[in-house]
Amino acid sequence: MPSLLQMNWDDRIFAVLVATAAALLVMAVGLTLLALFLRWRNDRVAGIWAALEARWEPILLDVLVEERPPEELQAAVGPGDSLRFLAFLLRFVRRLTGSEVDVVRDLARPHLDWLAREWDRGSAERRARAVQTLGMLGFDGNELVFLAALDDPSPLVSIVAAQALAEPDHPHHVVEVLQRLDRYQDWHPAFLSGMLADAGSGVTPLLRDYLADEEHDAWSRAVAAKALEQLRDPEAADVAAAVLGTNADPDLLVACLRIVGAVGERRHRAVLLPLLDFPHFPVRSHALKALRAVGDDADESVFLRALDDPSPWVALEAARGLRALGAGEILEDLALGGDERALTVRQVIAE
Amino acid sequence: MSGAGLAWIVVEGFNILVLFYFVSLNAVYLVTSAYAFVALRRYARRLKTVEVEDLIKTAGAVPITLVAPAFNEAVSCVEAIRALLTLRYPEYEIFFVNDGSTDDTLARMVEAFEMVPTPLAPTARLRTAPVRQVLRSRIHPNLWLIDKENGGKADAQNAGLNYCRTPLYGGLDADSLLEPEALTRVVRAFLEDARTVAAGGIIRVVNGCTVQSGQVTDVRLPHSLLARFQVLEYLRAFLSGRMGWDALDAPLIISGAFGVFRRSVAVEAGGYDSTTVGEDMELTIRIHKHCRKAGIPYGVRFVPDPVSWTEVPESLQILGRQRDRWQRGLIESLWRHRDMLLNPRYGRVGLVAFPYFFFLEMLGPIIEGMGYLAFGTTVLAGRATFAYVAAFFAVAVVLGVALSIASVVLEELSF
Repeated sequence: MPSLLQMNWDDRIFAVLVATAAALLVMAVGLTLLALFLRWRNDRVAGIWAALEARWEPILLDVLVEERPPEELQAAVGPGDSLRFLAFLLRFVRRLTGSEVDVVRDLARPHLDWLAREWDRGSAERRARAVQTLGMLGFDGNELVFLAALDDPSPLVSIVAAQALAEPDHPHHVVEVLQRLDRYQDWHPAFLSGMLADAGSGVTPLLRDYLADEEHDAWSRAVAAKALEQLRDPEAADVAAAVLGTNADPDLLVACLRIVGAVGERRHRAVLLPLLDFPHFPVRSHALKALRAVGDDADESVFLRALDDPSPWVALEAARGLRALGAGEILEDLALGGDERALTVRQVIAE
Repeated sequence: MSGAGLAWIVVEGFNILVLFYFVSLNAVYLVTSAYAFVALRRYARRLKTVEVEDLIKTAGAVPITLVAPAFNEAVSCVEAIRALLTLRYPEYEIFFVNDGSTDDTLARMVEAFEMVPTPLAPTARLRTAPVRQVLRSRIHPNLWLIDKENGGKADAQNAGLNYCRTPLYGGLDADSLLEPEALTRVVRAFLEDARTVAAGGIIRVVNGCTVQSGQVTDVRLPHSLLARFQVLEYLRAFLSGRMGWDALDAPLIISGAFGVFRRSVAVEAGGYDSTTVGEDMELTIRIHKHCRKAGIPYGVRFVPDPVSWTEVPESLQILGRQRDRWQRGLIESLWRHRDMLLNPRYGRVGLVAFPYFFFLEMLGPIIEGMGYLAFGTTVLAGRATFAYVAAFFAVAVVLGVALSIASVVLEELSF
């Protein structure tokens, strides 16, 4: 058989085509075997899981109601099943509260040492999983792991550590989280503020200081403001009002307006009025919402004027404001029209 | 040079073009499959790390409005809406848009869900055919019905978008069956990345499966061979294609059968274009364009685990009509935004994804069709041997088979 160099061009192309087809055939067969192997492996893993859960779950339920000693469940965990057992407990602990959580954490303790030592090995997802497991099943004694994990190169690992640290039992750790807030800018602000609020009312002084500090960027301050709103911190209203008078970032303004709307008082009314003419409609809309909470009958004309705002969101809040003031007759009259404003009013009357 | 000689130069030149097309197309398939492989593995690992229930528990569920446009769906509308009402998501509204149906779709909905006229002001002003009335269910307060004059699917979706009051908007087909966890899973993309403005889930074939009370209870392959081919085609299109384009950060389409958008961005971009049959792709491209032009940091995401089940055609005639519509939608969308082609202003979307769809997907049928002709002519004229043709076909077929099997591998990896 002639070598490739001895062939003419047509034969060379033909030989390359045949070789390529053969190589692709081998690849297709290889991929088929891989698909079959993966299916077999997935079924096997699912089978192992089902068997382990069937073995552990009834014992765990009995342990939780003190019908069996914890040692019985520990005895059912094979030597190579520690990680699977932790994964099982992790899934279970989410559904539990109070003393039952402590029981599960006690059950996990003997299996956590290795994880605490090796948490920083492997892929970002593996590290994050290790930190999450430690956070939910073995926080005590592992604080240093979480503080170190906050500075992990992966933001995923860092946020999982931040979640573990932002708990009511140890509000002082939230300082560390706040210092790194700008690392989490990819995450939805609602998630971050919810995470900070999970740390409980013990962190409100920290959050107020953070919100007031102009050194921090507007995005981070808005996250802190949203957490304060969720915690319904009455002292945050003054801080928010001060920010409203000095800042122009729409997201930060909206977050502060929500605080005033939630816990503000009549004295905060003055900072709201200039914002009713702010160029961004979410600011105007939230300013009206806040005014509804802290205003009084004297604001009727403000709400009436806002009914003609070009934004339907603002008009809707204006109508709700009038309803909150008890201006039922005015609303009934406005509802008689055939325009969009009348429809908005009819909607609010029907709400 | 004689006329025959010139003709042969054209035919052989075309053969080279077809060869170039073949190599380019399959190179893109290989690259997207490779990217999809890495991205799916990472996604599967991430699912175990950050539980979406934890995310929602902490962040609260971002409210979603689902818009289901319907035209003459009297037979299936009640069951489809009942299925949507069973979704496991804390805060969502359903807007069923009756797009001027001429059957008794409206009457069935009113009767089944005790719908009564309710005042509701629009929150946006996208142009649509006139809305006759808005109704709300007495028994399901999160179910609304927008009764409007006929204007087509895109027009009906715009009507829903006009009344949407939540931060997220979900577009779907009235006959789509969403898995109960679909919203929880798709919203993950918005919580984990605040830049996300649009996210689409995977569409799977429901033919052959058992459906009870609007939910798929037993997954089986369809009986018809044509539908079976489409099962593989959908797997390849979503798990290799869209997952790969997502990993390349340049997805150009969010399927109209199930896509979730940030409402404000969809409205600012102008909503659906009712003059094209490919309104889902056109909107996705326009969102890319709008965000780039406005300097909005954004992301368009494909999420592999929120599932929407759909019925695929089992006759060649219906399949042909569907593909004709898809191809026209593709051409209209790409041609309308041809200024994005190879335009560095649009980053990877303009420089990679758009050229792929433009040259390889849009012009593909023409090049392939003429390629068969040129190839046949070459063989008949004795300019290529049968063995050569057979070898070329073997490469094409085996490569196609390998890529399809690769998508089955990806399917196994995605769990």
